[in-house]
Amino acid sequence: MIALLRTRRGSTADPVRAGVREVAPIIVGVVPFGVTIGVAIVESPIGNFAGWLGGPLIAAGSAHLAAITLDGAGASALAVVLTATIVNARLAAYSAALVPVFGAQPLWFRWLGPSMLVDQTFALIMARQDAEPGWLRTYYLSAVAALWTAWVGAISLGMAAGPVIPGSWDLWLAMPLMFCGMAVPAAQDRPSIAAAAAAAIVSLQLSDLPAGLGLVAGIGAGAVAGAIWSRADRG
Amino acid sequence: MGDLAVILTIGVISYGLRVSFIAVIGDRSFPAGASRLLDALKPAALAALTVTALVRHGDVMPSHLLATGVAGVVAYRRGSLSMVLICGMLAHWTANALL
Repeated sequence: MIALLRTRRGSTADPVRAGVREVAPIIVGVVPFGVTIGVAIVESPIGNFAGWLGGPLIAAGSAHLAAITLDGAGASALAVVLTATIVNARLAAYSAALVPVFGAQPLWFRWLGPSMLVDQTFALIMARQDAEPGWLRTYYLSAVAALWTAWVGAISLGMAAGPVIPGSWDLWLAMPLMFCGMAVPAAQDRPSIAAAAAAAIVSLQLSDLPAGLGLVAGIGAGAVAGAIWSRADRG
Repeated sequence: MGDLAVILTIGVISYGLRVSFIAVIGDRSFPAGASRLLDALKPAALAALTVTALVRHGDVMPSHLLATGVAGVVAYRRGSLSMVLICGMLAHWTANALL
C-alpha cells in the first residue's frame, strides 16, 4: 500500500480532500470489522458502555476484540490488559519509525497525532512523509478524523444490530475467524509460523486454566519458539 | 478491576505505545532484539486468541473447524478480513445445514 501511494507524492492537492480520498478504501475494509466488534460487545459479559468506549480509546480492532474475548472467557483483568498490550506492541515500532516524520511538527501535534496510529494510518503517513509539514498535518488529521468517525460508527451499528440478530446465526464465531484472518498474514516466515503453531498448541492444552492463564502461557511459548527458530535461521 | 477500568487502562497503554518514541523517547533506533521479539509476539498472540475464542464457547464442532480452516485459506490467498468473515461464516452455515 505504501508503494501504491508513493506514486502520489505531490502536496499541491487540497490536503483535506486527499486525506479523505485516500482513507476511503481503508474505511470500506474496516467497517465490517467494527460491526463485528459491536456485535461481540453486546454478546459478551462486558458492559456495553465500557465495550463501546474501547472503540475511540483503544482505536485498534485486534486489541479491542482480544479484550472483549478474554473478558467473556473470564480472564483476569491483568491477563486482559497484558494480552491487549502484546497485540498492540507493534505500535511502539511504528512510533519509532515515525520520529523523523513527526520531528518537523509542532509539539501539540506530536502528542495528538499518534492517538489514531494504526497499521493503516501508519501506511498513509509514511507514503506522504516527504510532503510539506503543514500540508502533511492537515492531510493526516483529515484522514484520521474520517477513519475514527467511521470506526466508532461501525461499532455503534454493530451494537445496535447485535440484539436483533438471531442467536442461531452463531455470530460469536466471527471472533475466532477474525483472529485467524489476522494470524495467517502475520505468519509468513518459518519463525513466525513456529511462534503461531506453538502458541496455538499450548493455549489449547492449557485452555482449562483460570483467568486467561492458558492464553498468556500460549503467547509466551509462541514467542520463545519464534525467537529460537529465528536465532537458528540466522545460524 | 471493573470492565471500564480495564478498557481505560488498555486505552492509556495503547496511547503510550503510540507516542512513546514520537513525543518521549525521540530519535533513537528501535532495538533490534525488541523488533525480533515483536515479530514473534504478534503471530503467537493472534494464534492463541484464535484458539481461545474457539474453545470458550464449549464443544468445538466440525463446522467451527471447517469455518476456521476456510478463513485461514482465504486470509492466505486474499488477505481481506471482510472476505475471511464472509467465507468463514458461509462455510459454517453450509456445514450446519448439511450435517
